Amino acid sequence: MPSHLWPLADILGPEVEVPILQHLYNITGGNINTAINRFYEGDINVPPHPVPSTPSNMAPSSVQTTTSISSVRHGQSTVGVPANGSTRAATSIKRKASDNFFPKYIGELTVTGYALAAMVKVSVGDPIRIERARPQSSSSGRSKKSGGGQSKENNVVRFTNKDGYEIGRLPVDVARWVSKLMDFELAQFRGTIIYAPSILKTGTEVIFTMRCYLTAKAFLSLDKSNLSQVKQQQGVIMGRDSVETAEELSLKNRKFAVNTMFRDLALKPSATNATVGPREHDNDLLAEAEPGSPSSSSPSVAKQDGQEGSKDGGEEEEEKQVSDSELDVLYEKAQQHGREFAPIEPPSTMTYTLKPYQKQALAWMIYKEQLERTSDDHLTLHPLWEQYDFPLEEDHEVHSDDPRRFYLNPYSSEMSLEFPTSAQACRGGILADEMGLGKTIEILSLIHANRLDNAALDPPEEAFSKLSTSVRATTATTTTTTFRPSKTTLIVCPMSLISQWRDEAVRSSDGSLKIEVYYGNSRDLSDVELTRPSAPDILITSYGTIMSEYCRLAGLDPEGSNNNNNNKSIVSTLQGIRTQADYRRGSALFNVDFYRVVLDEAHQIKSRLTKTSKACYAINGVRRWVVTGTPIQNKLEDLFSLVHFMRAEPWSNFSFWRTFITIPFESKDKDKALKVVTSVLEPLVLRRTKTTKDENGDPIIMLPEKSIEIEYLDFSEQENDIYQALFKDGKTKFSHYCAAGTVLKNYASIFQLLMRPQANGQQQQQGGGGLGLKDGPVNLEELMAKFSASEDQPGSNFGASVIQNLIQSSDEVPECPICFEDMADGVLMPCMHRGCRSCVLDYLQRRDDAGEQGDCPICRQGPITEADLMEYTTTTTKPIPSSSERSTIQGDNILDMSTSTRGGGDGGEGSSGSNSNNNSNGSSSRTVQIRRNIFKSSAKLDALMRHLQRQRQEDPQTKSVVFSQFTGMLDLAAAILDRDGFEHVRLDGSLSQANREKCLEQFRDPDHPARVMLISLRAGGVGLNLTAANRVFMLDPWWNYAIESQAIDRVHRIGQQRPVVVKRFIVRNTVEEKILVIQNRKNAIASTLGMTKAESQGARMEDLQDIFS
Amino acid sequence: MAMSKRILKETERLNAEPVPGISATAHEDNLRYFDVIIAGPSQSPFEGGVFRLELFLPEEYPMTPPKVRFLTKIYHPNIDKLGRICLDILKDKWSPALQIRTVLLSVQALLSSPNPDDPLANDVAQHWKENENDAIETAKLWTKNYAK
Repeated sequence: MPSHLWPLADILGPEVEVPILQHLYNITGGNINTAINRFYEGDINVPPHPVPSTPSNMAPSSVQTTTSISSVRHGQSTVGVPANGSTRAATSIKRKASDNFFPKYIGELTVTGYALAAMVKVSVGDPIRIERARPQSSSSGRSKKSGGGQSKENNVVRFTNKDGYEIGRLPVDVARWVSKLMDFELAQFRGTIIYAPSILKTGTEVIFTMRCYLTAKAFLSLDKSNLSQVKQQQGVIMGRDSVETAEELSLKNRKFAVNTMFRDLALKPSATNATVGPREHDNDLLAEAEPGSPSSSSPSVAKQDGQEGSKDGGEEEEEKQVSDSELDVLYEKAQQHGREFAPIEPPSTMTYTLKPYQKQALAWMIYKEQLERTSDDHLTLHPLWEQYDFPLEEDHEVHSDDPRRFYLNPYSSEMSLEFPTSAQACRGGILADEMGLGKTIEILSLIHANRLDNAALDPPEEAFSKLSTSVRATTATTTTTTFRPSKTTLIVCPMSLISQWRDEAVRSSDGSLKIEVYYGNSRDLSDVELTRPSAPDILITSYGTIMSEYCRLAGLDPEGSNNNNNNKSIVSTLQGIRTQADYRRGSALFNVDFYRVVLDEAHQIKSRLTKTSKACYAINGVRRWVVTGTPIQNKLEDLFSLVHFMRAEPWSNFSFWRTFITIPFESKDKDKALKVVTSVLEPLVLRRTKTTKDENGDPIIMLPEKSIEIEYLDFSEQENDIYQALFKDGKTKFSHYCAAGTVLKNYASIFQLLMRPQANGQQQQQGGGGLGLKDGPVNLEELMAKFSASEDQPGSNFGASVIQNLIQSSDEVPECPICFEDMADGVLMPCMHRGCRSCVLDYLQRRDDAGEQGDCPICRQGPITEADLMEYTTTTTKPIPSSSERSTIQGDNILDMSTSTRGGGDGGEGSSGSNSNNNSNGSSSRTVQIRRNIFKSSAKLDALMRHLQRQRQEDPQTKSVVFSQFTGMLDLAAAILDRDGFEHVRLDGSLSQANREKCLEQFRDPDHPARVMLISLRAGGVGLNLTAANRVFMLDPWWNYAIESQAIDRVHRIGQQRPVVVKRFIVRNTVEEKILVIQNRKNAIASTLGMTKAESQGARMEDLQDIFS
Repeated sequence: MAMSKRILKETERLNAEPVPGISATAHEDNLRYFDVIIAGPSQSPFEGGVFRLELFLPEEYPMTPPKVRFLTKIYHPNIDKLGRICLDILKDKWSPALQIRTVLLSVQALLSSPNPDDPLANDVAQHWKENENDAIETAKLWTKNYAK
């Protein structure tokens, strides 16, 4: 190597070949400073042109950084974005910029660096070069102390004199962003010393001005720089978990660097979108992009991806909650909406008559769907972008045709020379009427009213041409161009609601709508069929279905672990598949442009990171509706996912959302965040509640009364013992977590601890041993036989007569010999004496405590244990409909005594009179069942049975719904219902779709004997229509009353004709009472606006400590 | 207080269907406290006497037995100087199915058949065993003197 090239080689590194060095030397006339600049500008790829003024190809050269910048656009905002936006940047550069345009000066700042080299001479006015200490260089070790918390990051930037000798380094705060911009090759820097001591010593300050220049690369669309790389790396990306994280991180770094530079250069936008207004949140934006900021305020990919599946766990739920009163504020405006619209009658194809408020909803929805792009949208700045003027550089001439302005998207750090136009208005919205107001019908009326003309299907070009006029790549408009339009409205709903939707759709239609279900085995629809005029008008599918198809299409394992590939890679995969023209294997759902997409119970996608959410985002269709009674369940971010699905710019940009809403809400500025959310919601949401008034001030809907009562119960001593033991165990574990300071991390497991005593309060052992009778139902004949066989045994006659009495006695309830009260819940002792269950058990317990054997308190016959007790139930049944059913159900074990009464009545002494009386009555027959006492007493189940028994007496037709969060509890309830002859159905998460439907159908069918539905809070809280019942029992409280309330509203909703009575069972002096307190406090505390996150965390700790106090 | 209903009912029934030779009156200020009068059974040494007792229903009644005590001095092997009564159903043989009525009947029966083999007042029992007639005379005398 010639010696004149040595300084260059030293600086640029040994990997740069000699011819290139020579070339650089030549074109710069030996000026090392310029040569290095040229090198980094990428000019060296065109050595045939020795003249310095011909750079046109800005493609990055061999100096491409090793850092992947392929995801420089934020993952969330790129659903379905193809690469076409990128040509814009490249062409515009060619077209507009003069040859010497880049690097383009954008400002200068004064920097105080510190010297590292001694004995280097510098003087004021000397030019200096700013260059990066490469990560592999020896400085990495020393840089640790400058990096503070981010010791792994190499931020070192040094400045050298014109000969390349290192003078010193940039201060850390500047180096942090300068280093990143240099790594990304977005900017270049040149300095001029304005102050330096005449002789440098290590550590002395050197002050210089630093001019910043943007490179051409900074103006490349992110899409282009990414996509090519992503495509190349697809195989790799799919297989590796870390890639996405790295990309997101890299984006974050870029955002941080760009925005910090703009801040430090004091660049102010010369124009912003009028509706958004000037950005005041520089610091928020930076906080959001701050590298190494805590994961809770970053998109927290790393944290959340891993636990995507378990996102529903209680741990996250509690965080960043939005209180009810805050929700009220949010919804307030949305509620005003409907009234402004004159009601619209649905077309005659709809067989239902709509209520006035539903017609208003229809009007609103039609209005939302008709929102067309207004002509001046093209002149409006895209809300995410800001316009900047290029500052003038001293001593620098300006070409007249050079661009004067440029545009920055501070949320993605994209820059552009071309005017970014406003996005298309979102066509759709959030239909958030409270449960029971008939959202389903409202949507159906929309489908009837607003259909796609079949003619529009044939020449699809028309639809395309309109769309393709959109120049600027926005997420919504450009994706649709690749797909063929369909007239179909796709309805996505939870599996359990598919049949409900289908039935409602069929019932609502006069037959002019074609309705199909796309689920399970009935998935034989191709995308081609969907685009034909013969396509179904309504296609109903489940979240699970689209999720699995999406994963299949993207080559993902739906259950698998590599779940943190975000949209970008999947979208590009989708495109990859399409370009292979592999339409058949692809899912029909993702290859057409639906006329309308409706997500029912859309809070299913409240987490933006789940595969289900991503699948929903990827469905195409211009009209996008979200239907949910609770758009915000807990966190404001719940809403983001919905907005993102609707592609409602600018809010569908996650970074934008975080900056304006999440961060202010979580930190100081709750009020402001709420205000912003309100303004987001207002145009998007229609919400009415049961209490909403129409324009005349009348409630829009009249539901029968609902009364909710808390019924306090006491544990029996034995239950209490068990409870205490479990509670202690839980407490120990809690103190352990407390001591380790990991309580909040273990929030979820503490939940489990808590649930145990609650659940176990019920789950006691079954009785065993005893009289030689089997567990379960006792054969009455056997019992009678036993008594009659041993005539001489004292009490046997008595026993027989007791049974006679049971059968014949009028409705008069006998008195308990112990408490002298009516024997509501009696038990039989083996001697056939009777007593209240609680009295007898209390007595036996006392005997046991005294160390003595139990006996009958009346005749002292013994020994008796709890397991020997028998329960009996007498039922007066109306002769119709179920008595025949029942005897078949009961089978052999239970004697239907109404028949044997007549037989045995002959032998009975003196009782035949009343007996015949009974029979001649004819309207009712008496059934007696005697069973062994299978369960030890359980306060809740006893109470439940008490209510159900009374109900059955009062009105046998009454139906009840019993909620519990514990399936074990439901098991016990089922057993006890069986025991007492209550037909019931059960709905929990384990049911297949078909069985669910069957179960719901049976419960709705008035002729079906089932009068009770056991239902798990989790499986049945959402969406179901259970208006067949008007009694609700909540066996246990849930943390968040909203969940319970939602469950109750399954019954108390439109269609309910009778008053609804709700009983909530709470056992005194247990966790349950404390949960009630927490339920109340939650509302109270959260209503105090301005509570910081630390405070709210404190509140959670307080919750837990309270429980274990 | 579910059990107070039982007490009310018992009191009511004692008033409605009084047991011959026994009266029990609840204090107005304390429904658990009864003034009891038992007439000495005929053909017993206590015939002609009117014996006053107090009866108290503890908090846990009927799970625990009532407390009964003679206020009138009585010469009886199963009743001591303080009026305490040795009766199994007032102790370990109590059953919640028993009531005030049955308790007082038992006490009345005890007067008819003293049981010196299970004594509470040892000297009286001794006297009863060694010279029953003399003891009966003493009992009659006490009855005459005290149980008026």
